[in-house]
Amino acid sequence: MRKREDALLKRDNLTDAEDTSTKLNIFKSLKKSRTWRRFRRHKLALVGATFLLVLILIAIFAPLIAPYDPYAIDLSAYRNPPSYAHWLGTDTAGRDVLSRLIYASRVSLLVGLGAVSIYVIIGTILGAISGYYGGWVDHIIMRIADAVLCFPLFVIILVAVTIVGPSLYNIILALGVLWWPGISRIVRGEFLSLREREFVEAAKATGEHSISIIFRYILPNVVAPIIVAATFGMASAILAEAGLSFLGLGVQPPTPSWGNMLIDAQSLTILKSMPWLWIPPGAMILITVLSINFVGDGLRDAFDVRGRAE
Amino acid sequence: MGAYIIRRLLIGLVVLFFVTVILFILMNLMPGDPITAYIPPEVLAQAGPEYIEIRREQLGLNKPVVVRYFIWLNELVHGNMGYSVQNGEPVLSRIKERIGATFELTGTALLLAIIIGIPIGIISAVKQYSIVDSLVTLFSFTGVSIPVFFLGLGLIYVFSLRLNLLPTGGLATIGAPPSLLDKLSHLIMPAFVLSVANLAQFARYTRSSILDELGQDYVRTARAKGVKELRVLFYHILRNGMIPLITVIALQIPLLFGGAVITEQVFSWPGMGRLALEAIMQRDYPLLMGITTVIAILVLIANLLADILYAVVDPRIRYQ
Repeated sequence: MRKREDALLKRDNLTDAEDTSTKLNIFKSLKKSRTWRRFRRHKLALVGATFLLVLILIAIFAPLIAPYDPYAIDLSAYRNPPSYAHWLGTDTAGRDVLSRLIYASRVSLLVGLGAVSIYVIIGTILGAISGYYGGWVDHIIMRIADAVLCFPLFVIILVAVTIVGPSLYNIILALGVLWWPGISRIVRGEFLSLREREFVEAAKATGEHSISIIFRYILPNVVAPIIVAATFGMASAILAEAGLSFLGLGVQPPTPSWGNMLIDAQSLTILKSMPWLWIPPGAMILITVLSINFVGDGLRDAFDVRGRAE
Repeated sequence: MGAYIIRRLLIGLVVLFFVTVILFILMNLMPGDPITAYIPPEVLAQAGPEYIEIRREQLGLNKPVVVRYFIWLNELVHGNMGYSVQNGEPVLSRIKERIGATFELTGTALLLAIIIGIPIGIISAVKQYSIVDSLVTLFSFTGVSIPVFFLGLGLIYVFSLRLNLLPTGGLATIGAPPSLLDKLSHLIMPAFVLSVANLAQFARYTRSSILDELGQDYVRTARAKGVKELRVLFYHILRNGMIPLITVIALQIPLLFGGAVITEQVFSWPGMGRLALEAIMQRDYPLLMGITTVIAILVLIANLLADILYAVVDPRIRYQ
């Protein structure tokens, strides 16, 4: 019994010391580590993670779960209120709202994952270069980042999407290409302090190539803040897509997206007398984004990432 | 100090230059030949290619993109943003018509966010782990997670359509004599909707900022000296804890303009955000270019003011 406790203690200490080691294997330590135990303690994050898991399953198995074809127009069932046949009623074209809601989860998850993957890669590479090399390279990258950051990104994405044409993939691309400055600043900050550490010096002394030092030695230590920022980023990307689609500049009907399902609610008659058309998609956006933010908060606590609410 | 301001100003100008270059490139990537916007369709259908070439030359559209950019920049410096494609009106005057409404909306929203967000952040920090704190935390998570348009529609549904308390949109009641009460009743919902995300951010930031300060040595010293708790909070902690908030507020301003586009659409608020949407729908590129440039300038000015304020408030900042 005693021995087991000692071993546990030792392991925890090792986890603590990990950020000074040359490599941090996040996935190995995640399983039983202090990180997982801390995350588990964050009740809201657990609830959020569970919801997201269910949502991902719904998105994957949408064709099996959806009671109707989300594109099937039935003019005899025009704007029907919720009933046993249509749990959430039907929309202006007589399509089943529940089925459309289920299919639309695919759009939101794709935008979240797609856009964030793109900008995390861009932001990480630029931030790493900026922080590791410093000097004029750093100056140029950071000034460009400033220019992008000080700009109302939603407005420029609006313009960009208008130019390339509104579609799911163009939104992912526009968000992905424009949203890197936040991540690159975080990565740069971490690199600035990590590059002075002994293990980097040791790697240099053994003749390691710069690229190898950046990606194999320093980057693994920056994974935690990147994961946290990427999680919050996913929430913002989903909100941005919903906003664009609501304005008619995002995912185009008949493809269902939670944002474009609310377009009809701009008419006051629908808003007033047909709440089943707009409350469910709006609530889905809110719950999904809220869940992601809870998970992000839980991860921040679990990884013990410095920095305040952004 | 003077050198510091000039330095920040120069950096701002460089950033603005980058922004206009990016915008100009984007506008030139837009589909369609811009010449079609300047010749009425019936004339275009009859006119021979020579006529179109002459017009193209008159309008300067045959010049390379780089040359056109500098012509545009030169005109911009002289206060000319070009002419709206829809009705030939100067872009600047169309923006002037709308900018007031947007200022009213974003200004009120920012003010609401500051005067509500900061106090609830302070209460939440002082009463850490209390029910109030949990509620504030839950509220701020919801605030940053709720889509602006959903919140807007929800409020219209409750307060305008169900309770009949507030108007559904617009600047003021049409035909009614202008009064402050009428104006406020139109302003309160959109301003609140636009402020919610910022309000939540400010509350969260204030909370964590004050919690950080509470653990500092100078707080213990002040308490040990027998300084009253309220004085410690307002005189010692707030002074230090609020300084970084200036930067946070400045960083939220671009988001405010983005949110204004959606809020103005939901509440039929005749501001720049709706003008931008109209410009997009009508493919009025000169107008769109003008609006985005004006927004960029406003954001840069806000950042500049924040930088200066920061340096004034915190003497520890060295003006490098």
